[in-house]
Amino acid sequence: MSYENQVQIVRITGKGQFRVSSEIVNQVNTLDNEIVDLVKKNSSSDAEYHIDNEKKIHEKIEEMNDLVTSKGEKLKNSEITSSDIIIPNQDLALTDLKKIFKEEGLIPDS
Amino acid sequence: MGLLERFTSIFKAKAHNIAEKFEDPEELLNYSFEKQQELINKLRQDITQVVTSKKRLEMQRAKLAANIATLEDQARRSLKSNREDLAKLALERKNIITIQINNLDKQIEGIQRDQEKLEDAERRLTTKIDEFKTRKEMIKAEYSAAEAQVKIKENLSGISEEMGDIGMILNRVEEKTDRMKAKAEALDEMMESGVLTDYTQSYEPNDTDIEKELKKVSLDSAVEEELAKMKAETNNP
Repeated sequence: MSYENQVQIVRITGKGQFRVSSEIVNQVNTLDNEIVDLVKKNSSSDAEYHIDNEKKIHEKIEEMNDLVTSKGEKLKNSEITSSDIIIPNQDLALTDLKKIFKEEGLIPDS
Repeated sequence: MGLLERFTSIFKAKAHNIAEKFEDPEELLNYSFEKQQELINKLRQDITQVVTSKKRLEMQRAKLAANIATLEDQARRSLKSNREDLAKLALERKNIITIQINNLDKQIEGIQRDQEKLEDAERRLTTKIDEFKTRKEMIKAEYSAAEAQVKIKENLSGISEEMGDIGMILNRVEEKTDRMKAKAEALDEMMESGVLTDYTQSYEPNDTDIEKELKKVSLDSAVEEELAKMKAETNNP
C-alpha cells in the first residue's frame, strides 16, 4: 500500500484535529526522531546541557505544532473521526513529556 | 519508540477503554452522553475559576501600578530638594514593583490563553455531541443492529478522543490554577505586610520614610531660610 498522497488526521492536544498530507506527516516524523535523540541526551547529568536540550525539545514540538496548524486543514467541529497521529501541544512541560516516555500517561482515568 | 507513537498510543488506549466498557451500544451511548455532560459542567466550572483568578491578578496589578506614580513623584521631589539618595531609594522601589507587574502580566496572558483553550474545547465538544445524537438515530434507522453497532463505535472513538483531550486540558489548567492561587496568596501576604509595596500606606497615608524625609527637608530649608532672614536683619539694624 502506497502512502503517497495519503491524507492523515492529526490531533494537536488542546487545538483540535487537522487534515494533513503525507508530505507533512513525513516532516513531522523527522522532527519526532530528532526529539527522541534529544530526550536520550537529556539523561546527561550536565545541568547546562540539560537546560539547553529542554529548550531544543520545546522548539521541535513548537515546530511540529506550527507545521500542522499552518499546512493542515482544520476539521470542522461537527466532524467526528479518530486521529491517526496525536501530537502534544507546545504548552506541555518537559516533565509531562517525560511522563509520556515512562508511559504514565497524561490523561486522567475517567 | 518515538514520542508521537507513544503519545498517540497512550491517548488512544484511554479513549478505547471508554468505548470498550459497554457491549450494548445503547448503554454505551447513555454512558457517553453522561460523561459528556459531566465534562461540560466541569469545563464551565473551570472557566469560572480561571476568570476569577485572572481578576485577582488584575486587581493586584492595579494596586502595584498605583504605587509607581507615587514613587516617581517622590523621586522627583527628592531631586528638587537635592536629596539624590532619597530619589535613588524611590526609584529602586519602583523597579522592584515594575518587575512584579511584568510577572503578573505574563501570568494574566497565560490565563487568558487557557481560558480561550477551554472555551474552544467546550464549543468543539458541544457541537460533536449534537452531531452524535443526530447520527446515532440515522445509523440505527439505516443499518442492521450489528452494522449499527460498528458504525456507532466508530463515532464513539472519535468522541472519546475529544473527551480524552478535554480531560487532559482540564488536568493541566487545574494544576496551573492551583499554582497560581498559591502565588497570588503569597503576593497578597507580601502586600499586606508592606514588604513588597504599599510603601505609601505602611504608616500613615502618604507618610512613608521617603515622605517623612522629604517633609524634613522642606522643614529644614524653611528653617534655613528664616535663619538667613534673621541673620540679615540682625546684621543690618
